[in-house]
Amino acid sequence: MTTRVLTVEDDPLAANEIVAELEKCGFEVDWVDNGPDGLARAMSGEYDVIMLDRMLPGLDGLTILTTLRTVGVQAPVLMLSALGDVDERIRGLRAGGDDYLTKPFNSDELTARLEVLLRRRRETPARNETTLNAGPLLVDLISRKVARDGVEVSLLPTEYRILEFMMRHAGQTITRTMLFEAVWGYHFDPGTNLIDVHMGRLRKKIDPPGAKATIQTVRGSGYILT
Amino acid sequence: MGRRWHNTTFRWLSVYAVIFALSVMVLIGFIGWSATTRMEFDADAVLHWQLFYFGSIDDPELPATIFRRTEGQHLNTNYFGLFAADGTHLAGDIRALPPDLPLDRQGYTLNDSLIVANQAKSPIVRAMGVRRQSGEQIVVARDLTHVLHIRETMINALVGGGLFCLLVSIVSGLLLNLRQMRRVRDIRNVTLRIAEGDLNRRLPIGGRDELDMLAHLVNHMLEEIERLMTEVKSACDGIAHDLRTPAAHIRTLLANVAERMHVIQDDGVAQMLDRARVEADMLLDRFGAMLRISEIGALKRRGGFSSVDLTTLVHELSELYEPLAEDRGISWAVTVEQVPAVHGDRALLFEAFSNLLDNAIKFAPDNGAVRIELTDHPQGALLVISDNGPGIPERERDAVLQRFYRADQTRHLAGSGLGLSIVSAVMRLHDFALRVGTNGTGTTPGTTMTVECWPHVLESCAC
Repeated sequence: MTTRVLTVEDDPLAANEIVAELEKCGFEVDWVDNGPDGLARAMSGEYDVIMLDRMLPGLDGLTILTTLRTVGVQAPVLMLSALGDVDERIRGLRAGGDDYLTKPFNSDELTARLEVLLRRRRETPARNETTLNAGPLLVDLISRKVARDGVEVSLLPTEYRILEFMMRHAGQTITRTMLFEAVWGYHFDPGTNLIDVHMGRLRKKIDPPGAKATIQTVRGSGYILT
Repeated sequence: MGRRWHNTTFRWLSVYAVIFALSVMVLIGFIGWSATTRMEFDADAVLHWQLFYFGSIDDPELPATIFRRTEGQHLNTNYFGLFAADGTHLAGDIRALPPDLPLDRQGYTLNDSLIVANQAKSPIVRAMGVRRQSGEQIVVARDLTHVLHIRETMINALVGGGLFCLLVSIVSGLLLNLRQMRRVRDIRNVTLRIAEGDLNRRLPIGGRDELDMLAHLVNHMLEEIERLMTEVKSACDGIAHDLRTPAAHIRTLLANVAERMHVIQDDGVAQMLDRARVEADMLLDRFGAMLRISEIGALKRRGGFSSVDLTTLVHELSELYEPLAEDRGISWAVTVEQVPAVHGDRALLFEAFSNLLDNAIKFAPDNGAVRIELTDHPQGALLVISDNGPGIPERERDAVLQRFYRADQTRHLAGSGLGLSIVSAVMRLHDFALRVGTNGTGTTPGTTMTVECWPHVLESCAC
């Protein structure tokens, strides 16, 4: 079953780019160029994920989102916002299970975030697990203990948080920005090197010498835990 | 409010009060002097006439005449006295010869030396005396009490009126001044807001005076500045924004090309491709940083401000950056004192301080040293971040805070050259001050970045 994405975007150039990128990743994409039509299509409930532009002719993105939630449409929303337009309401999206991205964005970042949103939605019902398991790694969410092949690995709090985030999104590409936002909670670009150093420390602890690396670097975009 | 004493209106008011008081005093003095002179002149004329009259009367009839005269004076405005050569009282209501009166037909004012019958208190009089050829002495005197009374009333009225005028004019002057001061204060408040970057504020208008004229001029100037600023800013942002999209495309395309490099199998091309990708990343970093600076500048002023605990913020920062330093063998010293919370935007402060730490690590040599110190000062918290890198020459210290500036010897290091501009923008938003200094001498003087976490906006105008 293909994933259906609704894109509400008034700039045809940006929309074409998004559509092309998402279709390349195997999504089925519908594009609407104004707020009222976008709301009508979104309310049909046939989409798995909805991308809304913050500024739209007729109706703005946040209003559409509020209306959707009021009528019970639960599809996750990725809000696109201009860089200078990110306020508390937009930041609040992440806490509410949705997400936002500032324009212009990197296509890897876009697909990575959409995948996370989709996965989160599919997994929502079975959320009260107490352990995470990926390959040789086991994380106990209650005691915060980590083990590889049954051998306990002691991690610093930051390292634990990175690993937990990677485990929760195992098999998905996680960009450095996403990792920085999730683990440290800040929204700026701290530079590639800084995140790599933290990741390097974690890898050294969870991967014994000679063993297969559990977290791989995805060139140009981020990391993936397999 | 001590400054109030120095404003123009008050200075003029004081000068006015002194001049007014002096001229009223001169006026009263002149009126008093001329009234007295006139009064004495008139009294002397009357007394002279009386002496002249007594002079025409023969000695034997004199006592009787003086007695008659005395009897005729019921209102007691004139007094007479006839004394023998040895000073014995012969006739009249003046009982004794006043000792301080020269008998030379000249008028003298006697305050209390005249002893008069039927009066307990000696009145203030103008008196004149003469010694007759027979040796008898005649003294005539005219009561001045009423005239003096009138003079006193007049002077009192003048003094009272003068004081009243002075008081009324000073009070109304102060009231007018208060209104003017209020206008100046309003203008000052607005100007401070404008200085903080709130360029769409305008000075209050509404007095139709010279202050208003200046306010109009300044407002006109502000409109022009705002227009120019907006133009420059939107041009810059537009360029950064428009170029960022194609640059992002190039980056994606280069990544796609890299994925298919195995088809070509050419090491030279692969190397060039790698370099092209690094350059594309750098380009995007710079655009990102430029837009970030505009974004910080455009943030609703202090909208997201709350109380920020710098102590935990610095601990968090240290934890984030220590691995980066350790990776290069840089020693990492953190000294954190408990400091009072500051009013600020936590996320922006974190970003700014992380830029400073990133720079310190970047410029410190391998196996060098980076120090972070958070100390409590009387004015507020002080954050010092220092490294033992090449340092920043004194003449370049202001320039490093401007956009795109990179010191010559650092061109080989990665970075957008905008990190410190972001820091400056955040500091400006918070009214904090960033000072660039050095912590040593010799070949590796190092850089010391000092952040004074207390308001600095009022520093330039000590109000």
